[in-house]
Amino acid sequence: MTRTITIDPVTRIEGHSRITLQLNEAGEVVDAQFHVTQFRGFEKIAEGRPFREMPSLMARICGICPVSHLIASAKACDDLLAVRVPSTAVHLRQILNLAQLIQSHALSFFYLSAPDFLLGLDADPARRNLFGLLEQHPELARGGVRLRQFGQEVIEQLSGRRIHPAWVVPGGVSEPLTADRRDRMLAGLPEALDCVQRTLAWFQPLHAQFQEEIRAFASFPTLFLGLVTPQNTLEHYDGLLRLVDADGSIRELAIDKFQYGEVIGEAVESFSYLKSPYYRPLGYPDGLYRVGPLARLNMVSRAGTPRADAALAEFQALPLAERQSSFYYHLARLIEILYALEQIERLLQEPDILSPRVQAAAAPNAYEGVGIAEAPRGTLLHHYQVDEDGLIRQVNLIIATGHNHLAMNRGVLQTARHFVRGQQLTEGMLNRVEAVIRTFDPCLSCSTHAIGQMPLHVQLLDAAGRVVDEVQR
Amino acid sequence: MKLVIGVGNTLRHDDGAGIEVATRLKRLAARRPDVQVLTAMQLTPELAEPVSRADFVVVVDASTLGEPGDVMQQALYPAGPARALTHHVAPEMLLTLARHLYGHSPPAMLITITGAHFEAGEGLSPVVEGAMPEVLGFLLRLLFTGPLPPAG
Repeated sequence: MTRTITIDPVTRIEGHSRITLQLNEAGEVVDAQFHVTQFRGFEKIAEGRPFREMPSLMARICGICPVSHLIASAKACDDLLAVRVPSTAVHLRQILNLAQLIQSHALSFFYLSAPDFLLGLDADPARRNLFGLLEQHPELARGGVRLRQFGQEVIEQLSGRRIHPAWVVPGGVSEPLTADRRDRMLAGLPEALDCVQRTLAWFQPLHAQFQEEIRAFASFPTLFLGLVTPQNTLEHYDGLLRLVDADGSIRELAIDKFQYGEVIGEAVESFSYLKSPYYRPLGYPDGLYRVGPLARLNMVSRAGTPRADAALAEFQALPLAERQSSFYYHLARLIEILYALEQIERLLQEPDILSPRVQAAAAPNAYEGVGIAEAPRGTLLHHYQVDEDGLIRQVNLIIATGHNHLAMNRGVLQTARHFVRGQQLTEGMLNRVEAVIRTFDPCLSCSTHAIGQMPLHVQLLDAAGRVVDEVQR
Repeated sequence: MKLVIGVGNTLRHDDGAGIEVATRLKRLAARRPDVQVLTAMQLTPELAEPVSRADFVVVVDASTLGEPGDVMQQALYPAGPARALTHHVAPEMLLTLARHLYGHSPPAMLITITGAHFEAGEGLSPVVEGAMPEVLGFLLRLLFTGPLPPAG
């Protein structure tokens, strides 16, 4: 008898999804699908709106990473204005984007995933959360809270609000930075740097305990996509959109953003609202690629800041095959937090950072704009077309989680085949299937309510669709 | 320091009641350095730090219990963890976090205003708007007169 296991909803991620596992008569996993079950429709909502509304409107896509959408949207609008954004505004936007990365990575690592590392993937789910973490490792929990707080404080110091700021506008930013706000941000850096370095020192040796997960958590060679500098170091705001092979050899040196559709295809599957982008020359689904912190670290030769360079060098010393494991997304997040803190310090000390020239004003001068930035979870693309009055005619968004869709599906299948045996479902088994999704830190809902309050629901269905077993937590 | 946290989403009509209360209180208490007012779309673990520094905390939120316009209050005490925590915590858990992470959990109170409309859109319904003077009057008395409630 063939059976289906459904994990619905997947917990400790941003959004609503479920996983189904198809078993054969022997109870072995033969297929797996990761379903994104919510539909947002922002591309349609935007049609007919004045383009200047887009950054603020698009920021509402997400309560966790509004800044990423704000940045990509504003960059697309810069194209519509056909202006050169003042360098101070570019630096301020970069700081904002990096602060967003810090708070988002801290949330993913400390709140959502660290309980698995510290308490074990087989631990009681009632204790496998931030509270369990703080009882056993209060110092680590305090560090996580502090890092997230730091990222949010930088966002607030720059833009006036922690969530959904409207400070980034087409052509630049709406207000310059003041000296006292810059100094407040600089004052918080040493403690934040200390927190992430302490965490790295604790987490790196811990990998020895997770060798099986490293081998089975979406661990396969793929292409990687992301922004890099011309010197092949980390870049999150602008730069070259590059696609490389698993070993780092270059497939696409610098994709023309206006021609992204010739390189990236966008497939749609009936089982999910999430698009499945793929590398067009390899076709669908073979053109699977990954984005996000692991992809970025596997693409660059150096991070670009001293302490992050040292941490990256340790990662690069691992065997190439091991660096393909999505388990290393977690370590990559810590290394990127370190990089972001160092880079914020450098940017805040730029001589023009307090300049009042922060916005280029213009009427719309182009009908099409494409904004690309690295969001915490990977490459984010906003593509707008406007009419003569600057009203939006068409919008296409490719969010980071979408790029990873094919890899997540393949990763779930790999992990489920390794850990799940249909006859003896265990909590740890199911948690590992969820945990492979968590390595990608998918952001599906972009909403602000109720995530994590829902129980994990697993159903075993026979070939006729009858429930033969059920597990809830 | 007395801390007031207004919680809600102003793009869902009455869900933003807590934010609206906090915003108005901020103006009324502008010259009171002993009162800090924060707003949040939801309570997050990072708030444990300012909570731990406060002598008294009031959380103001919208509710679906009771009749629209009802104003209710209850003392808050530290509680155990949720079964599956992400980035969003209940007020009682925020107190627990403050105690465990920073060593202090102050006396705290929850004030709720029952909403009538929670669909997408801005502005409070007339019945919730009508309850605003009562909520603000109660808050002002609570913050500026009388002894603090006992700690949890």
